[in-house]
Amino acid sequence: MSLLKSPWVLHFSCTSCNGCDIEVLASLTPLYDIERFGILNKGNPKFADVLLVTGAVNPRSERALKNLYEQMPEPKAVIVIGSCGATGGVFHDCYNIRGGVDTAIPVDVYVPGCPARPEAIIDGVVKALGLVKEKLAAAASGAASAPPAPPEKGDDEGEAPAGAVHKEKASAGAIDKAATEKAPPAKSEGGEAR
Amino acid sequence: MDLDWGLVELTLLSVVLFVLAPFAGMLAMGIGRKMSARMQNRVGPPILQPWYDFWKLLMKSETASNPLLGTMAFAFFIFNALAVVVLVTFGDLLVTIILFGLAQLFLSLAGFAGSAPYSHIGANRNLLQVLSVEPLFVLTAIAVMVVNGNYFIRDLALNSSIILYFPMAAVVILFGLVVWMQKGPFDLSTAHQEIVYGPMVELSGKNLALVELGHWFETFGLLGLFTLFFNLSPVLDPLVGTIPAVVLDLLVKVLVGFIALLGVIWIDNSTTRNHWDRLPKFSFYALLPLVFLNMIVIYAKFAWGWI
Repeated sequence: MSLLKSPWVLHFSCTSCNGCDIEVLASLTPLYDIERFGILNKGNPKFADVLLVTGAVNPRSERALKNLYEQMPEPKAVIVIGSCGATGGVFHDCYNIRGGVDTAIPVDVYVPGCPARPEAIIDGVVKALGLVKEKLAAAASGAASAPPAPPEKGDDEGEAPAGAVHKEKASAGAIDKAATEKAPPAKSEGGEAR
Repeated sequence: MDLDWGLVELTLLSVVLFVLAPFAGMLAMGIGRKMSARMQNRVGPPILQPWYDFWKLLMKSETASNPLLGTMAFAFFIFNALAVVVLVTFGDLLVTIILFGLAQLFLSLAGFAGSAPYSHIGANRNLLQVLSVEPLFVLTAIAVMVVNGNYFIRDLALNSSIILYFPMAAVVILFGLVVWMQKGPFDLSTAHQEIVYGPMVELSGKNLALVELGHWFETFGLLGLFTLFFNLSPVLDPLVGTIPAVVLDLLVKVLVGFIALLGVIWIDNSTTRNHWDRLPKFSFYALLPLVFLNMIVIYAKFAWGWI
């Protein structure tokens, strides 16, 4: 499946404090080098397979977010990075905050953390692609794909686990298993250089 | 590649080269990305990464805002492929160069067919790049004709001393490759994140895959043009026309293409992106005089008989 080997990423900062954005950019650096998995940050919704969203949603950023999501060609996946994108985080009771990204667009994978670690972001992308693969397999076998159930929100603020958490109910176990098998090993070479 | 070869053998060689061309171009792009990564102390993507990207793009859905986008993407692919056809059939050098330029024109038209502002900026910059670089190629081809007697690549491929007469033009053409292959310091029209891949902004799915395929042909063709400076015939003189000679010649050309690619990637990684108006200035004030100087020496020796 070539999609798994060539995920092109679009990064959108909703109303983020930029902590998670810096971690996304950190994963492009030689230390983490996401390009070794074929992951490229393309900055163009029409090229993108995966939408990386950071930060909580407010009415203004919601418009741009939906616009970007609609411009992405199928099959596509949405990954939320950080606590704010998952639940609203520390901003959850601000007057202008709608809540997590899933209040605006369907979300496939949540990467927890404040900010999320680059390893967890890479893990999240790989996990989301596993999910896309399942969707495609389901579509190919002719099964009418039911609209996804509204995902549960993450409740892991304050912790920073290393891996991404997949919260969707349907066949979550199988996907998680498939994704953990494909999970990338931690980068070694750049680490030694540092 | 000898003229003594029969039509059947030449056709067979051309067909084999044409079938290998997109794969060789794809490998060159993959190796280029790997070289780039190693120069930045990264591991880098697998060498077959462009191959995975291509198949991924084929299974994506279309979002074209204008049906012309697909037509122009197809034209970009087909003219690059045609240019490679002329190159591997050892045809007319000038036609090859013009066809590569025509392909770029259609990429610009794809940019103008889109509605995004970046698409238009990219299309304009792409035209500027062609305008700055195409004259260098054409003038070099004219000078080569003076030495060679005609524009046919099959005669040029037998002329081993060609690089001795074109030291300056070879350097200029290497720089032309840098611009044409969208590498720094003048990767103006794609410019990575700056104007998000310029004329290709609005392309997606199969159209983008076609453009990628066109780029494979283009990479093969441009590196192939550069390798025409390096031929082996005097070394192989008793062998010329035999299979080992052709294979050895092709191997040397592959090596030269690899070194040219390394040079292009090195220039890409050791320079920053320049402002767009410096490209025509650099091209017309620095590179064009170099080619002219080379041309004058060639004319003095071969046409006017001064030397």
